[in-house]
Amino acid sequence: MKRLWWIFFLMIWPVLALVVCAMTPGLKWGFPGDGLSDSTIGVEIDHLFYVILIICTVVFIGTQVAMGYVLWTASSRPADRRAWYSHGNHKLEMIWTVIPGIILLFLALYQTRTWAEFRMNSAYPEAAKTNIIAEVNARQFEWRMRYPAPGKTLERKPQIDDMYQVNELHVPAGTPVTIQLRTQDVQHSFFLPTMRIKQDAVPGMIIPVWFEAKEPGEYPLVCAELCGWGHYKMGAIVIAHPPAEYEAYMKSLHEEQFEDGYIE
Amino acid sequence: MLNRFVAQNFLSAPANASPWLLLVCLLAGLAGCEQVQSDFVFNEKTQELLPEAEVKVKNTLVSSFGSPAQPTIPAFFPVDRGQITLEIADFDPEKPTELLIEPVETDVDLVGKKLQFLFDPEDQFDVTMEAIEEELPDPIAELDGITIAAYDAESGKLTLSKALPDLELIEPGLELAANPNYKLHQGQFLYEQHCQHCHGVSGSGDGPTARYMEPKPRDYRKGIFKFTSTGSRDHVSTADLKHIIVEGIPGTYMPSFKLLSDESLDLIVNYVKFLAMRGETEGMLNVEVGLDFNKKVLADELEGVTDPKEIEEITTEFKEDMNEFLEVDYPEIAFFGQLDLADAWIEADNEDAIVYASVPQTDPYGPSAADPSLTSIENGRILYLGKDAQCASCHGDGGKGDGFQTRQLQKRREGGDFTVPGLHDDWYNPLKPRDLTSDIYRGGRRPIDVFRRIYVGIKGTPMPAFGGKSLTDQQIWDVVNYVMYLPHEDTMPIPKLPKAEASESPAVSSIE
Amino acid sequence: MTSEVQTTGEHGDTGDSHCHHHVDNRWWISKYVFSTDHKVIGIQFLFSTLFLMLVGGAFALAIRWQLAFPNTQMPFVNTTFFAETGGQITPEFYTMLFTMHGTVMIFLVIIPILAGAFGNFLIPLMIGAPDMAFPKLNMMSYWFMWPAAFCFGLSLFYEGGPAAGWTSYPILAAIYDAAPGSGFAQTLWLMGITFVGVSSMMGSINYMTTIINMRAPGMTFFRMPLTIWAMFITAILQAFALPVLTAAGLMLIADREFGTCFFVPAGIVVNNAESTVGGGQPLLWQHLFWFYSHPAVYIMLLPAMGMISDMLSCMCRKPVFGYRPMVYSMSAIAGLGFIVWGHHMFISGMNPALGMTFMVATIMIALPSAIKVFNWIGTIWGGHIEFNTVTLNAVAFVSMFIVGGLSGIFMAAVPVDIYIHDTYFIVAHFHYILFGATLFGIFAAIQFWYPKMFGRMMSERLGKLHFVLTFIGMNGTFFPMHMLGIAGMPRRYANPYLHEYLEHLLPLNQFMTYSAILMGAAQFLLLINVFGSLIWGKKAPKNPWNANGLEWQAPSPPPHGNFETQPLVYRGPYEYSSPDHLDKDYWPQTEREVYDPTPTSTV
Ligand code: HEM
Ligand SMILES: [Cu+2]
Ligand SMILES: [Cu+2]
Repeated sequence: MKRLWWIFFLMIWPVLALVVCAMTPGLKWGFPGDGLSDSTIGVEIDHLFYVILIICTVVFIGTQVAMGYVLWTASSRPADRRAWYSHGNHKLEMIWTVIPGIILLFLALYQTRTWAEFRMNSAYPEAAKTNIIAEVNARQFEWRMRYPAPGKTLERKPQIDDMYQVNELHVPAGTPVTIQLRTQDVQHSFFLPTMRIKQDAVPGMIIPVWFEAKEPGEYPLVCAELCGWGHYKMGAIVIAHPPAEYEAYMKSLHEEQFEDGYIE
Repeated sequence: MLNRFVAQNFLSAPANASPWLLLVCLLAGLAGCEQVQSDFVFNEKTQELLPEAEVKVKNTLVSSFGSPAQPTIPAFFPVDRGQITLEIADFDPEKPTELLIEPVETDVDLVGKKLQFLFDPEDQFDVTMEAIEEELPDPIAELDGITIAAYDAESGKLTLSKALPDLELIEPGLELAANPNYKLHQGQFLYEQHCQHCHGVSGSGDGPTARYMEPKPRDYRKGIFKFTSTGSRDHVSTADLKHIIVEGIPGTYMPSFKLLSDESLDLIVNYVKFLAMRGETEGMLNVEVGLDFNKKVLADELEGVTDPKEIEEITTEFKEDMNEFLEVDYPEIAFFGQLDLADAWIEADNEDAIVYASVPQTDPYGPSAADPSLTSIENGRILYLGKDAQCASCHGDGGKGDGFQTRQLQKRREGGDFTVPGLHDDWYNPLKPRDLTSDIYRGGRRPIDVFRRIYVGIKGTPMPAFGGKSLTDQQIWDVVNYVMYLPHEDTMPIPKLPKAEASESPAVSSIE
Repeated sequence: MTSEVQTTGEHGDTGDSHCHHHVDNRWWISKYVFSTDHKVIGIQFLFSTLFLMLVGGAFALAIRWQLAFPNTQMPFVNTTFFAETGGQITPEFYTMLFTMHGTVMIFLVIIPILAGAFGNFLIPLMIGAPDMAFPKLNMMSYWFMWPAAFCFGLSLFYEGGPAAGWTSYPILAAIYDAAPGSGFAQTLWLMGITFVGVSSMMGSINYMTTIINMRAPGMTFFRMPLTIWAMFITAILQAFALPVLTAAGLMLIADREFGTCFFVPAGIVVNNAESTVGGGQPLLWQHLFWFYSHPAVYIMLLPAMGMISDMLSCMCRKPVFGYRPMVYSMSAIAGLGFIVWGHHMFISGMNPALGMTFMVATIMIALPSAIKVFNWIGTIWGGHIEFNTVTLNAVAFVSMFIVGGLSGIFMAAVPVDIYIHDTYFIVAHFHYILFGATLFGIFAAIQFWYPKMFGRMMSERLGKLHFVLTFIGMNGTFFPMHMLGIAGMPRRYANPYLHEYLEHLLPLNQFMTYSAILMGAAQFLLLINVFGSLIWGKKAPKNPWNANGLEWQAPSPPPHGNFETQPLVYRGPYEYSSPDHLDKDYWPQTEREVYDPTPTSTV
């Protein structure tokens, strides 16, 4: 009885873990929102995530079952039977070195394309290279955006007709856009959870980040690198417009920003 | 012996021991479960009043504004309290626990809610004063704590938790407020979540996080807010406060709270106004009472007097004066003072209070409307450096915020010098004039925002209001154009009129 | 022959310390306080770290409280520090909490309990040496931990305490104005790290020297128990990685105090003040820090891995499966451990090409980890197991390590790490490794070697109760963190629920907090067991587990100088149930056999 109880106990936990994992999407504990990524690169990331998840689940079940099994046999071995005297098995060692090795190597190589696409300039989509829409300037504890005036391109140095916004980033949907990420003070991280995008903002560096919102909508933007006491307050929003509306919005923003408050 | 006893009963039988363990844990837990409550703090000036006066002032504040857990505010202050307004349809003094009200539409359950009577403030005051004069109990005070015991929606019959006093003012047509401070409560909750650790429980700008900050968080209690769209003598408008909370203040630790819902933002603004009103009321009372009756005045009077008898005489006389003042004049001062404050806040939300330019913005590169022989930027520069506006004396010739005043000792309002050279704000925090080349505009970066900064000044700081006095609106636009051009001097063309080259003034030629 | 003494009377001998020859007449101060005896130092480390574990745990519970009941009154703290603000903690206090939790747990608990307590106690005993090679250095290594603890403790009293996390990234940690508590507190914190480094360094030199030079006759490298191998590799890791951290720490101190700007670029504006000089690069710190701290995570694991192998083998009455592969995989982990630090920096903005290489190296480091898991399962396979506290904790170690290792693969995959970096997934990962694996390993080790340390057995019932509660509490606390991470909840948020997309996670967080409270409360059982058994525990024989290691041939507790006679080693440490030795199911390393068939009976 005593023996059985402990095996049971060690078997209960992996089963529970699996059940909880299986329940996760239903309980909305998993990926935010509807569980689907809102950006194109995010779709690839999710795919890679699920590939790893499947492999890991298989390994998890395999190892836990193996462990449960050996524990069960080892604890129910009759008292007069000695333990199996073995120092190991060369063949087995080879098998469980080479097979996981191959799987792991495959996993590593399988990841590279998406990474290149996200970060390597040469692998960017064409539109991302030209569509530089804003500078995102993080600071304790908010996001300040700088857009070029409608029809102009973003310059490194602030221009007199640039437009500014706080905690609100407007982008066109359905096309890759690039933002220039920088920080005014400490490190921050530009994190779009529903788009699976993240990039640290490093003092002294200007880092391009591209993403493509699949649909028009509003997406959260938060800070993911400890930046001081107000780290948790750095919430902002990315608003993706249909391209035509985007142009119009930018124009109206320009008017609003250069408002002289004169009423006839 | 004992060892074995414990070993047998305890170590070998943990099952028996676990209830005890649990108990120990529980006790330790309970010790930590003690709750504390925050309270509004009174300012130092109140503590300096003579004890009787101090008590009086504190009582006024508590009865008018309550505590963080129970915030209240007199109905005449322009704060949205979220009350449910009822109107008396009929009242029969024979049945003092019943009121008939006009039908209301509300999905809130009225039963158990507090009830407040919205008398005309002045009438109400008269009733109180009369009662005091006749040394009768104050019938208004008897209304405190009345709640709704039952409500019948069909007949409109309201049953009260206690009998109403005999009061003529209670008559059909009088409005009642049920659940009168509901929104203050909600505002307090949000304020506690988002603002309190910097701005403090009482809105005094000294929350625990504040000490690390430069510049310091705003102390609301003076009722002074730096960046407003209202005139230089006006209070801040509700819209201004909301704007600041939505946009944050660039260049400071005040972040933007844009993502809060509109409703939450309104609640927070409301509560901030409440804190400001409370602080202002306290300040007003300090001045009114403290002018004559604080500890220092008494000490001054006693200065040099050594004879104990004389001391006693002076003190008694002083106290008599004070008591008379507290009894006769004080209620009036306190009441009408608050009414005046409330009026000022109401004014500020008036459309007329908002400052607009009387002329449109001049094209920065076109001729100045004030002096057509120069471009607007050029003229702005002349004004900036000139004697009338004296911008450069603080902001420096190059706009770096390093004018000569930043190196001089400045005077305090109440006389005496500051110990550190440089400018200070009304809260005596050291203050740097803005570096105009930094391209950061705390009060907003639209031309109209910068215009207003120059027109109405920055309240509570040495930045004066130029509008309608030393500069015309046309001139202000020139200065605005120049100031906004400053950070971009190196990328923008030189602002000179092509034809005006012949008539350059010396100041202009120094631009190049 | 001296070995005769060793081989007689394993069962009858209670190992009372007064049965050895020389009388120990040192003054009590030099015997118990400034002792140079490795066992006393080990026990000093053990008690100190257990105490500090409570401190770190208190920080953890405070963190959990805030996450479950944000901005409500936090017990104990509300009345002490935050009476004015109605008991509501401030965000910088929260920052201090997780900074200190990480710092205390990593630098003052896990590292010193493994290397300091068990390394010290076990190394000489297991290799048959009378003491460490440098006993005085050993003593200093213990006493250098206290200045570190003092610095950390003192830093709490400066402006709200250090607030840059245990990773202490500049600019936050490099400029006074950047964070509350980045005041002198951060400098103190860095000084604390330096002291910890010095302490570990002294230990590691000592361990290496001792293991290389002081093994008993016959104790070849491949007859060493895996514990010793693990300690050896750990010591090497420390010796090579620590100088980098110490240098980086000193550079950061210089940045803070003398304005050297190693890590500070020009033109940043912090708290309304602009840095005028510059030329530094914040990423440099991350490289230096992780160059130490990745190996350091293995410093926090390898010794436990070694000890688990020994305990599993003994409890299953079976040789370790694949002794040599175990040694090789530990070495591989150590070697690879030096070239994977960049996986903490995938999205830091470093050259993206580096991301690729670091990814491959990191994914490959999972391989030796996997090999070890398979070998542990192999060790249990066909064994003769008894479920006592030691076994349970050891099996939990393997089980939890599998989870931690698997979650590591998610993060090692760069594209996936784009999403889960700096979310709670990371927190789940390293808690499964550091709590789930290492700490369960430590619980097992305490139970296992306690009789040797104090001459008494620990209570089995209390031990099991403690195990069950801790296991439930631990999984309840940390398993849901994977979900939080996938839901996109960033780490180090004082109040995540301000963000709409995280609001619905509050109930889950509350559940985790209840689990954490359970887990925290369960640790008192451990303390009661450890301290209670000192007095009330059953007297332990010399070799209560019928184990093979040399330490079990010394009296319990071993006297000053450890062994009565110089032990001689005839075989490897895992000869359980050997068919060549049928009268007992174990075969101590020191036991001379008339007929010794093979010179090395380990594979
Ligand atoms: C299968 C083997 C492992 C792999 C593939 C792996 C991978 C990783 C990766 C990629 C990260 C960085 C994640 C990020 O910040 O985005 C990480 C973080 C971490 N790992 Fe592992 N890991 C493994 C095993 C371990 C072990 C054995 C330990 C401890 C003994 C450990 C302790 C940690 C710690 C403490 C952190 C987080 C540090 C921090 O950011 O505060 N990991 N791991
Ligand atoms: Cu941030
Ligand atoms: Cu690592």
